[in-house]
Amino acid sequence: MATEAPPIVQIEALGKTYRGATQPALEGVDLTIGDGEFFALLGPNGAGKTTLISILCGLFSPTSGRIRLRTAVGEWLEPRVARALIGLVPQALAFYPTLSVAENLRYFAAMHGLAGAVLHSAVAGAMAVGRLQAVKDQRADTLSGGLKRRLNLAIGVVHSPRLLVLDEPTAGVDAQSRRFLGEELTRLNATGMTIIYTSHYLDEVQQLCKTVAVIDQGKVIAKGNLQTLLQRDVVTLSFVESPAPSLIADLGRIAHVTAIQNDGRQIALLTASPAAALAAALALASESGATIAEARMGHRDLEALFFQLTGKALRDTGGDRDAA
Amino acid sequence: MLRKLAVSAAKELRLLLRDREGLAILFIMPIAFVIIMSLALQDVFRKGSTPQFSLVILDGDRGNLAQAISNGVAALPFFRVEHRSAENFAAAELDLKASVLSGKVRFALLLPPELTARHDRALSGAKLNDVMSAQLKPAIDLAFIADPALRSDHLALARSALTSLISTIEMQRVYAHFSASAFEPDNFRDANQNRGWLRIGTGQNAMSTYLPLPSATQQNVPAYCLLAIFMLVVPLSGTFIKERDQGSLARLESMPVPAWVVIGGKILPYLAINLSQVGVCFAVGRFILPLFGGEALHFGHSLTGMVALSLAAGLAAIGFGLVVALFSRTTEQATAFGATAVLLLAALGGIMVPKMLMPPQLQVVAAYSPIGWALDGFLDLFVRDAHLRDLLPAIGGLLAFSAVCFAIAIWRFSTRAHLR
Repeated sequence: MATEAPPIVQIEALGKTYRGATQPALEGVDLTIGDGEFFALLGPNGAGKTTLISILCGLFSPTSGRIRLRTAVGEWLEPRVARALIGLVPQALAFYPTLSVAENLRYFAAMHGLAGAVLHSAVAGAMAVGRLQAVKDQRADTLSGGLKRRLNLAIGVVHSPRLLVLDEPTAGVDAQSRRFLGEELTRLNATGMTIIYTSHYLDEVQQLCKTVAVIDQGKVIAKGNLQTLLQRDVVTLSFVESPAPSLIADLGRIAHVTAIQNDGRQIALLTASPAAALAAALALASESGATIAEARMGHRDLEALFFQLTGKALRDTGGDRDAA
Repeated sequence: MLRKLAVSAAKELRLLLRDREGLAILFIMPIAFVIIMSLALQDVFRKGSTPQFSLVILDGDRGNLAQAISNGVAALPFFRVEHRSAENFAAAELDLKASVLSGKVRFALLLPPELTARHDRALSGAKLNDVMSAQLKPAIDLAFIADPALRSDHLALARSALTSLISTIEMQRVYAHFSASAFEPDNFRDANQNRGWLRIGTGQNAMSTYLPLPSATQQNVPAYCLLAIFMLVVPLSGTFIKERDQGSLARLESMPVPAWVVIGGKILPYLAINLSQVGVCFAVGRFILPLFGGEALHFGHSLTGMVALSLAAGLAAIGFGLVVALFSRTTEQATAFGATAVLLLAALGGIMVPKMLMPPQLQVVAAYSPIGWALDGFLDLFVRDAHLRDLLPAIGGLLAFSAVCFAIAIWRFSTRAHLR
């Protein structure tokens, strides 16, 4: 994937098959993430996102391929020796419930090797990121859901990492907390921190991220600039009334249209030449007397793109071992 | 890195101290066990069943009297007899005494050189009426040595059986010597009536220092304290798995923290808890039990040995707990397996039923229980007044066990298998 910023993460032909699994969790993954990017990693449950994040954070070793991270001085390191560069915010509330907010932050800061005045300043900074000052002496298990998510984020940034990896950081929190976390992440990204973000809230991703990769069944099926991806390879027509079957058949015969998705009054034409297909579709609709309410090159939104790429069928998520 | 270890240990201690219910159980459970079991089993430890004991006959005589005694003892149901003959009787006697004092052999019966000849000489100069009526002089002493850790009723039983046997054998020799029809050897079968020249030792005379027989207190205080120490497997594996399920372990492993710091951070506070448990249990044994009519715990003379043994037992328990935690997928699995394994090792190690009461085949298996090694060490300390050097085999075994456990735990932790 071409990125303007110099890369901070380079993933090459990465594969991972868990012991005893019949299917690989990841297969032939190639990705480059630019320094300072706000990068979304999308995919249905069981697609392989968490496995990829785990390898990136040095928790697991890949079965094949490699991941390298670039330091501020341009040195490339394997994940297990580049841990100081990374801040992980796992999907789970990964802290000690019986310790206070400040105790949790101090402990994890110390585990990053911080001490003395540096540690105190880092803890104060992380507390400011999560706006946790008012509850710093409160036990973590007594915090509200939103505050817990904020503490989870604050721990991830306590050592000011160059790369912040967030695995569904807003799962199960209210709209206000999601908005706050989004704003805070945007602010951190503006300071130069690279962010890798996974979420099932696609509207949130569309709002926050500039670059995305969609992963499904362990393989990257789309990657690039979000706006470019949204606009490519599809023409969407919204009719006032459901179009006649003959018109749908004609639309499917337009040159370079490879598939057609019929969603009632909304028809999507998959094509490598969206401009030509759009012109032909408008002409056919006019001939048949059908009224078009809206026509566009590209997808309505990220959710439409996501469904186009991954389909609408429910996934069997029981086999997380195969593709966690 | 040492700072990270200290911070990890402090965090773990803080987590432990905040789990007040769990902490209370860790201390209340052993205290209750120590008091209840020590008091409840006081009588059981005074009188009870009749197990089989190891007995070594040291034969310095090799005459027909020694042969008759050896054959007779071997026919008794209470003993597993080993017959040793010695060229250098004095040296062999010293070795044997050491074996008995260390508990390796439960009893020893010493048949001195010239036994048969001395008895024959005494017989030839005696009159029948004298022999039938009283103890005769000069007495021929057969030293009988007993493990000081034996229950008093077992010692009494063994001594009574031997006295009866030897009395019978002696009277048979008297009968054979005088060949008188009026003489009926069955009249001399009363074990409590010593007639003739042969005198058997009390079993305790051979001990040169103050060696109290083990009581319910001396067995049960260390036994149930050790059970509590090893039961730390349950909370230790529980917190570890909870930490994993919460994700904090994965987060920790995404940080520049080596496995030994994470593992070490758990060992130190749990070791402190272990030592506190020992302190509390032994204090209860010493000061509280007497208030309820129990016997006060005799600590022995080696504080260093006691601390070293406690530390070794604690490390073994923590090592075992870490292995259980790292190989269990759920808290339920860890709790069920951990508790069952500890109870099994405790039962084998003589916590509930002293090893000496177990059948010989089971005693062979019991020798592999680390809890048993620790209990043997404490019994050596309290009952035999052992010193640090005497405890080294027990301490060494426990440390070796814990080293193997820690190595497995660090290897497993490094493979990240527990995170999947």
